[in-house]
Amino acid sequence: MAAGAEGVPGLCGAAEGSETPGTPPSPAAERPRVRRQRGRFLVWSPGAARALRERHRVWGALVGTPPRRGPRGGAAAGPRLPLQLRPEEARALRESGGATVEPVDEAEAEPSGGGAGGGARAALATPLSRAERRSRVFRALWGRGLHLTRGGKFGGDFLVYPGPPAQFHACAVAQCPRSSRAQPLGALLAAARLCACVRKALLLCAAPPEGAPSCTAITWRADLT
Amino acid sequence: MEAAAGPGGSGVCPAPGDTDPGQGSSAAGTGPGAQGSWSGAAGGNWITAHPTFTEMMSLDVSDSTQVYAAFLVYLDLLEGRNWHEVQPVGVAELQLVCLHARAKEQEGLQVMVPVPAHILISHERLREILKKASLPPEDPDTLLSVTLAIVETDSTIVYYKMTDGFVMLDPPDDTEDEDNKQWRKKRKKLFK
Repeated sequence: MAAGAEGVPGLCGAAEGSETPGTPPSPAAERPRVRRQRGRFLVWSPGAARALRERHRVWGALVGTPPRRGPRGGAAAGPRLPLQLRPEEARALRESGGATVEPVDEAEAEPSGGGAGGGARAALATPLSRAERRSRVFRALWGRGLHLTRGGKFGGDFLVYPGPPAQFHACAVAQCPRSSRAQPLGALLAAARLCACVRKALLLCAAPPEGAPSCTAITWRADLT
Repeated sequence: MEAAAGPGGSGVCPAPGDTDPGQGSSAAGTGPGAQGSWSGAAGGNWITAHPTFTEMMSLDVSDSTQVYAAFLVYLDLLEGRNWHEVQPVGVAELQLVCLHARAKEQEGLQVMVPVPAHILISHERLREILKKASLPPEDPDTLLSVTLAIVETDSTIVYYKMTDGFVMLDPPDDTEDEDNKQWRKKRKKLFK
């Protein structure tokens, strides 16, 4: 587990051997293929799933047949393919050239860039949707070399790891609230207390289109119990 | 035990309509908050007469509810925890009374931002508080930070540090001691 209450001023070094946005994208033939099917982003190839996790730090979730229980299920135990990616993971890979996203049939439209239609003025006036906020924050944190997985179990949008989830505990729970929306302070307290109990920091993240990404960490003052 | 074992403070805040800093002080002889709400936030003769309270009010940057919260935090740090120094500071840009405090003489100043627990607050506002209330760090690599002192209607205070940037927590100081403590508790329960 990563040690030390370090503040990382906005940037963490990229993991050794992992690809980050900004590196030249792999040739199309070598890129892992992600299939868009019924609104879900699925990776069926074991090699592609492994490449996404080991080279691109995109972890997704294995959603195949549930593991079998009992002695006969020992050999087949464990989660299985396909690997399902969240929309923000698929979008980040597509935009960085790390993977190709292919619709299974013509009915599967490419995901739009987010935000309302109706021209630039309408786009500026409309607050970002939750999906768009998540996507931007994912891109900002992932681009800094961090590993992110689903954060629903801890009431957040992402779990943030300093290294591969197989080797590190998550160090933070990231939320992507609407920046201008006022919420009861009690809701923030509840989230912060949950994080304190599981030894993680609460991160409030924002990545507005017109500004730099920002991260506010909330940690309990154990010395002032 | 609950209050001492972990972060205190309730996760449920009363509706904003329940608290009205504009109401008059409570009846003579009753302490502040005696009616279970902050309607008497500035009530109680000894509080309104306290020189530090009057100093905070004279800064004229915030309403009586936030000043009352600041005063409770002031008392908690200075009298309850015996901190070396606690000074109220008015931040007009934020319309808040903050505290610049030092736990021990040799330690650096910390910024405490008292807020009542029942308020509504946005991420934008938290960032604004962080940027405008924090002191410039001595080390340029250190992240900006302040401590939110969240004051409940029963005067319970819980403290959370707010930092600009990505923070990782310390691991437990002594894992073996923690395991032993948990084992002792469990054993005590089993053999009751």
